[in-house]
Amino acid sequence: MHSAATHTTVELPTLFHLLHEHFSHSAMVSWLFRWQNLWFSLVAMAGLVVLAYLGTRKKSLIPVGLQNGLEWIVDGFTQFVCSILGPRGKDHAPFIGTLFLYICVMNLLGLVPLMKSPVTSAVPSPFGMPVPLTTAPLAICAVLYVNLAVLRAAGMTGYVYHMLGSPTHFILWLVSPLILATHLLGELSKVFSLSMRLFGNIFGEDMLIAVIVQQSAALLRALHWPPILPLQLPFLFLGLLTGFIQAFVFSLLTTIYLALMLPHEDYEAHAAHSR
Amino acid sequence: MPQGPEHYKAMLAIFLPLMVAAAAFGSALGLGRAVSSAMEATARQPEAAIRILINMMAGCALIEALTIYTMIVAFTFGGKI
Repeated sequence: MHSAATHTTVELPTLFHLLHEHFSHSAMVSWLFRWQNLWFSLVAMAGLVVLAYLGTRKKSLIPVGLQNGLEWIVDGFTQFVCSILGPRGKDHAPFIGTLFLYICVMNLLGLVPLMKSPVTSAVPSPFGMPVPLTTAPLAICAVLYVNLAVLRAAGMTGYVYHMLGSPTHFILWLVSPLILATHLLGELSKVFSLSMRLFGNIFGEDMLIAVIVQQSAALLRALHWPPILPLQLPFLFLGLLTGFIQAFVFSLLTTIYLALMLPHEDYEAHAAHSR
Repeated sequence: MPQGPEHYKAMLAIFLPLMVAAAAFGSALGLGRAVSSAMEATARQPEAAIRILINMMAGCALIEALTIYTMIVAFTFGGKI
């Protein structure tokens, strides 16, 4: 997918592209260009860390300013996770919230000029489908977290029992290997669908913006105008919406997988919580 | 028309856009149903509008993902033309 020679639409140049063009003899710049997806994801991480640090410096009981904003985000997301998972959602909200914020910031990086979203990086694989280099590890992390959370909540026996389909009748015990295979295939398909959905949406959006930029540059060149009109502006707003929604859907699906697989609480404990 | 071993390029060039168009058509039908039922639900209970919007957005993203899978395949094979 990065074969610029056979594609007519290339991706928009990033800072590392420009550096690589101007200093093409330097090994350091080549190394920086090769790992540019990593640097951009580090930028996203550093941005979130700096934001959190700046917001929690004062730790006043009645929050104002940045601390207020951050508490609004965290509290809103925790409420949302608890509305799906119940009171035990408080334990899982940090991981899911981190997923949401990290993926949202990474998606939005693709809209900044001279920056690229690391979510759109992929390598061609022998299976035909491209392997996304950032979303596949994220999806594997999410599915692994769900399985490990179920393992911790239900113990090894509870986890295997759930994987066998929770058989109570003798017939269900007979078909349990089939259900085990289905569940394992289901976990693989969760990884596949999570990664491909996020990758395809953000890659398509960024490719759309790249095509619009190239077309508008050609148009302005044909009109003999200097390239001053940002004709891709409406698509940037669409990219804002898509980035936010895809991050939200990723974390929502992780929450739903958790809600489906975690063992049900006892009725007395549930009634005590809801009071 | 490319002949001989390049035949696959003509087939890809015909069928890739058709494939993406078929996926877009199917997802447009599905999304239309989802959004229309969300509109009806909002008309019944306007105070739950934001909750319905959130659920509709989640459903729409899941339906849209199927079209995106088709687009990824189109990009993969389009690079081979």
